[in-house]
Amino acid sequence: MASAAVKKRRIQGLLFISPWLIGFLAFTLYPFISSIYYSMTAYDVISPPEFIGLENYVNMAEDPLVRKALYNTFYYAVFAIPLSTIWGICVALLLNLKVRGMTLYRTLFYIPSIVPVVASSMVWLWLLNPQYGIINGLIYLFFNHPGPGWFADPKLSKMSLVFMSLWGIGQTALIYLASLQDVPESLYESADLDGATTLQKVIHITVPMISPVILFNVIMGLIGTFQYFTQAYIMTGGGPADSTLFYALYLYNNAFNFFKMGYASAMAWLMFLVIFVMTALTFKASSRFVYYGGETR
Amino acid sequence: MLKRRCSLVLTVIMIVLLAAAPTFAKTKITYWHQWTGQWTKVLEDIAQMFNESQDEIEVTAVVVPENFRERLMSSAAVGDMPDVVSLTGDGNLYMAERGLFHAIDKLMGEDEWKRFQEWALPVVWEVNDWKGHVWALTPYIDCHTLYYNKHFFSEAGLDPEAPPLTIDELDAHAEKLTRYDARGNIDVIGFYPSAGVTYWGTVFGGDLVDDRGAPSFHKDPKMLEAMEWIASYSHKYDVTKLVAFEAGISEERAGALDPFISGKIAMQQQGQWVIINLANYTGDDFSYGLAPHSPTPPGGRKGGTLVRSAYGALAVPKGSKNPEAALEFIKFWIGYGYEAQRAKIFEWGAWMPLDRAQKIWEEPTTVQYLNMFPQFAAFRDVLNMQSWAVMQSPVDSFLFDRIGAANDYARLLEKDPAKALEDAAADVMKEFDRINR
Repeated sequence: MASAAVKKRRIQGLLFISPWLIGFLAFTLYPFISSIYYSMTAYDVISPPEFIGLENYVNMAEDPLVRKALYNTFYYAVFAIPLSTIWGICVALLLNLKVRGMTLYRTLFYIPSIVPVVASSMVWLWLLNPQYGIINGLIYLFFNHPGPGWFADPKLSKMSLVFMSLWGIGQTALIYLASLQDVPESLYESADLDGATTLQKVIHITVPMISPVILFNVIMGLIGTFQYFTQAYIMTGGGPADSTLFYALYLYNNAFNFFKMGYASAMAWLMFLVIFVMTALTFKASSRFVYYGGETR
Repeated sequence: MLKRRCSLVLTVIMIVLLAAAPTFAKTKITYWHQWTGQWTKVLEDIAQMFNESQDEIEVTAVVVPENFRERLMSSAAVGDMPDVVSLTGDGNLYMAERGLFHAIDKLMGEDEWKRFQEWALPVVWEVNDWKGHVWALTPYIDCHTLYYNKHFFSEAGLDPEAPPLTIDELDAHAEKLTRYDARGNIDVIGFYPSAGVTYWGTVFGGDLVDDRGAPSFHKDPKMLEAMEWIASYSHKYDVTKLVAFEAGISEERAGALDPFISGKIAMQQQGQWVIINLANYTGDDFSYGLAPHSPTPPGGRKGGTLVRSAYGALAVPKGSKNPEAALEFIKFWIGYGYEAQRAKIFEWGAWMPLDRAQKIWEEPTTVQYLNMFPQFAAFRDVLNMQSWAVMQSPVDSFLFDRIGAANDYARLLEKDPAKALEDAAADVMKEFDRINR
């Protein structure tokens, strides 16, 4: 039984966090819960919602654009997550070297991640412009070939976005860098005594020791790629020929362009389910690959 | 005693003033639009000119630069709507069907509506004429015709005073005018159908939807003919090169970077506002001509204006607190009863007069403006020829999205034109059936 003083302190505590609590209840929890109901309605915001049971979910199964959007999103995830993980670790390893001017290099690699998305998107549209872009200019200079269409080519548009995402790797690399600095120096010294090469040290010491951080970044990357929206919305609008119609973009179009808020809510729940299952599977698989300090194997 | 009398008199004056105050107050209305940048000031000037013409109404122009539809829907959901809105997106007939707007014809009343119809060009109302009522009125129209660079014509050995008037002539001219750079890229393109199948399908004589608003474009041979013609450019100029060229100019469409101005396109289908751009950003050495109408194939729609509901039509939301005052502002914007002011609006934004009798064209302000820009005469003729309302459908948002995708599939040679149209129609038909269930 809590004493009066404890009760009073609890109330005081709740009052102190009440601005956040009210915001969370009104703007996160309520929409979250209510979207379950809306996902079972035909709702366009203008007219009152009409209950239609599971019809939205049935329609989703038959909607070719949902399939297309899921394909595009999975395609992006399959390339973007592994590449950003490998590239992030490589950059972090380089930034962990003890060379002169390292703070400057670290700053330079971090800068892209703080550039506003709209600005960086515009820059990349120009860099990858098939006719006037510097990348195709270099391709022509070195290979005497005109270079690909990048964002304008439906076969390459998603890969162009993957390529672009690697540029903004600074945040991820910074997290890897912090974890690299936590790896005990003694492990490398022991390996040196055993005559291990640099590559062997990376594979057998560095990667296992930072594996919890890799898992964290993979899961965050997984969630991020399934919600991939802004760049596609700004740069390609889902085109050309639906090649960058990502799931979140199609969801947005349904909600705000096609007056299908109920359908969009159902799509949001499917997205939640997919992310949940993928995260759970990653966690389950991680027990075989992730090493936590103090564990014996 | 005197003091008491004075204070009594002052009190009486104050009471009288307070009681009379509401009769002096103007009816205030709010007008939402999406014109940003330099245009925000133009819209504010229009509102100011309206306010100066009124004793009892005062309008405030509010720019809603982003997420216009979301904000309109949100304001509808909470019942706090503006009095007038410029509808610059699709989905207007859907919203009208759901009772979001007042019927303009009903607001005007039968007699005035008849007078208005006699006064205005049909293009003002016909695209928003849906299920027996008119839901919005269009205050400005984009007229299109072919602009061509006379210098390029002379260099290619073409007669600079004889623009192409048929599709065959257009294709032949385009081929002669196209140039390549040392890398084999297209440097200057004679012409390419950037306006897509929505526009060209209509010019070819096709229709996107039937009278119910259901998709009919997949069954229309004229639409297919237009789509095949669009795809023919990808075959003729090599789709990779054409796409690369298109991507190169798509980032530089505005102002001085307009590809027609920067000499990247020799002929282009464009609207009347380009006249002002050309005057602002070109010198005396830039010589261009205007075709009397868009190049048209046999059996096509020769000359006229294509209008969509999304092109800025003015509507009065049901949540308006002062629909009559809102209607007065719409009449002002169009120029009905405000001909002299509408002449000034033409000058401010190249928004051409829309009166059937063409009286506004004779206003001193307009005559003076036309002396400066005689090129508008070509568009005046186009505007007064005929007009076609396209995409008159409650599923126009989805239709526009899918027809755009179909256009992409065909022009990028990812799908056969007929298949691209059929797939798009199947998607749109499902949506049409859904909302009509």
